[in-house]
Amino acid sequence: MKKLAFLALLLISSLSVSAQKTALKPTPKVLTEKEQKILLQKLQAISMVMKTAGEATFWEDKKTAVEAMADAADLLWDENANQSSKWLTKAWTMIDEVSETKKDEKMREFFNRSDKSGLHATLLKVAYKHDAQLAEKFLKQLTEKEPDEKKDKGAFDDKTARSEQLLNLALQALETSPGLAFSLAERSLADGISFSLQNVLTSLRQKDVNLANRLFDSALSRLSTPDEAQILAGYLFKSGFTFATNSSGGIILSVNPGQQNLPAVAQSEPVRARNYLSAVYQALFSRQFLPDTPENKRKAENILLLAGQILDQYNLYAPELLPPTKTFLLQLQTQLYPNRQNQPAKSDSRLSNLPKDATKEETYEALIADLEEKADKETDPIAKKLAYIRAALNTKPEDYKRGKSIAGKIEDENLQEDVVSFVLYRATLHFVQKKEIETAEELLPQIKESLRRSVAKIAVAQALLQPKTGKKVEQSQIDFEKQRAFSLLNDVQRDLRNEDATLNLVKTLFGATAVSSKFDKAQGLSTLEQTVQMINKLDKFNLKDASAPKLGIDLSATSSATVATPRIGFGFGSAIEMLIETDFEQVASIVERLAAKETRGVGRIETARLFFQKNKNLLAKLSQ
Amino acid sequence: MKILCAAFLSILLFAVGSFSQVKKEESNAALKTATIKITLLDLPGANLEKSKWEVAYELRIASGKELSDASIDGRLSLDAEKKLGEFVAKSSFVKNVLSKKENREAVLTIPLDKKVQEKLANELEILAKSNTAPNKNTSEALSERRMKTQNFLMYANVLVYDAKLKKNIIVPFNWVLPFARFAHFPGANFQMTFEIKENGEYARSMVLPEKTKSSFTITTKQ
Repeated sequence: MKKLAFLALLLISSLSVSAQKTALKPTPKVLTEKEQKILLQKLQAISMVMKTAGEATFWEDKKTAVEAMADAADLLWDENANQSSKWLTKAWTMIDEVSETKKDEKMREFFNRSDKSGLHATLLKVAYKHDAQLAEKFLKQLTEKEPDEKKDKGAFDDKTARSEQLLNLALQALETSPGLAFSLAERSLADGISFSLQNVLTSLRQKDVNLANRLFDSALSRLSTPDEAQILAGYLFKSGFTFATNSSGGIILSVNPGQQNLPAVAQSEPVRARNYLSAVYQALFSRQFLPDTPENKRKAENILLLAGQILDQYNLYAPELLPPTKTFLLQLQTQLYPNRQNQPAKSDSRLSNLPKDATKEETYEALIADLEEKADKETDPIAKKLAYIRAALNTKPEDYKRGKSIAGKIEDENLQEDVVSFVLYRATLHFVQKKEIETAEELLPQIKESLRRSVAKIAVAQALLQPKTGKKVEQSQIDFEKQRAFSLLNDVQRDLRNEDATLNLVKTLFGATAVSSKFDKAQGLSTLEQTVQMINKLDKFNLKDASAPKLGIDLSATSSATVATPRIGFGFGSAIEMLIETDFEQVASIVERLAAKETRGVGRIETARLFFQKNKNLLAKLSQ
Repeated sequence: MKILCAAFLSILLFAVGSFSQVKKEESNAALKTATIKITLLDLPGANLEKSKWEVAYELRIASGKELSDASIDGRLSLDAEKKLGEFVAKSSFVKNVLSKKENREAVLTIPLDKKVQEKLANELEILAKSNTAPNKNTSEALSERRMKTQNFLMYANVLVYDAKLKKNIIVPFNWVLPFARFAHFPGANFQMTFEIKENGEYARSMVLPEKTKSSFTITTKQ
């Protein structure tokens, strides 16, 4: 309260100064009550950011501290460029103190990106936005550093931390400055052709074809390994796709959904496609070597994998190189797998015996019947359970009765309950997505697991609250649906009250807050308070993490990916979005109740950020 | 799989250099059983009634040559669907009431049939001969003997339900156990231990008998 009184005094004094200055003008500016309130709130938002930036240097969590200082500098640059520049410079030096966080073991094989490199890119982005000279200074420091070869590289990691930063920044610069993006990406080639280059090339092509061609040519002149060839092959022949092999020789694939449906570049650049195939032939398909060491064996596996992707392209763009390439590959294959017989294995599965003109439905039926039969025949009890899980997961979400029936065969109460609950949860979200709300509502009580049931209820509530477009609906119907949504959200708040605090619980509560706030601010604030209490029970929570709760089956890492995740927003930002305009002070006050100083600091900054975003136009008008 | 392969290789490579540790007088012991002790050291919900663990395993045996061939033609995998070697035994069990330490341990005594016993006896004989004629330990001779070594292949999965974490966890135990490492211990003992941590991750290790000069522990984490 004291703080507010002080801010009010500040405002009054600044207003009186402003009034003195404007007294000479013919029409003195009179602020409305709303405008006065916004200016007061602006002062509070600035104070929240400044306080956090000041405290951040003392935080133990240096990664969060660097991010907070970058955010603070970005938010307040127009208010105080000098101070913001100091925060950014301090944050840049603090990156050296950041210790790398432990990465997800399952993901490490694919990506193992460095926290430091991400932070460098974040700070560079802020610097480029406000002070190009400072950005150039940072960039010079980066490029002058020796490239640090990444340890424990994932299959789709960039070559070095330096190339990762340069390409990350190039991607960020693409929209506003393709020339800068080109220059940054070209600099990354000093360390080889990195995975992210494909994304930069494809995006750059949409902005400037000539620059993309120059970058491609520059990269091609450095091509020396199969993984580099895969990156450029994706760009030329199958945009958004990159293949690689994992440590045990299995094929893994990375798909960029935003780029996967673009037309193949090779069609419009046949000469470049030919140059590429010729370069690959010279570098990889004509140099004899024996796969006698683990390194050479891996190289041979990667060459064969690459050949599988691009061999057909030789027919189109470099037919004279096809015969020698085929001879080389056959020889390499024989050396690598001397005992392997090239006869296809016979299979009596329904799927493999389907006629070529089988319908989608027939294929689906055959697949599920095969999987279920395989599980029925399995004699190892644990493998049998896993096989039933696999079969149940492969059913279509709308075919939940089949999934449930297969899951019913799992002879383990906990596991069976987990799978049945997941199948019903997935089906509910599917029906919500298809706008079959009544079917979704019928399934809700059958979902036994409380978090999944809560997320499904939130999704249904959101669907009920959505404005009905294209058809005339009676007011009584709208009120009734609102009432149902309200009741569902009340259930969620009550059901989750006694749950153990977990990351998924907090995300679910944020989702509930986001939806509640749309029609009942008091309910939204109450759920937000409940969420803060739960966050305080956790060791750590990142308020910037807006990803959906992961509610897949314990024993299936990929099950979450089969769910139609509702578009609610399960992060702090979504939770307070509807509250910030009407209840800024209350939100700010709830944020102060976050126990961990780092979480509280991030909460302040995110609250201020949203305030500035929501009131951008009004604040601009007032500053004129 | 990466970790498993690393463990696989570690054990396999160790087997190559371990022949000389088997003494002549110990090499005549006839092995009629193999003993595997599996211990669940700890789990967050140990005291909760609903917590339980289940083990399903298959033990197989393969010569060094079979493993080497599989490695060369790309079949060397610990994938349970592409099992190598010959079948020895297969079984499973479930244990509840994990607050009691005895319910977190299992000792599996696996009888070995005549054919397997013969294979192991042959290897012991070769080992004994190599010790009595050390001057014949040329690289060719060692390489030849390496192909004749016998290796137990353990394909096992442990399924744990931790009632505190409310989570099902699978702990795969797929190991290659070179016979030469424990040939001179009656019963071919080895141990597998693991634990579930507060965050739901697991750590596991395979321990060979401590009496061997170079006994070793391989620990992997999820």
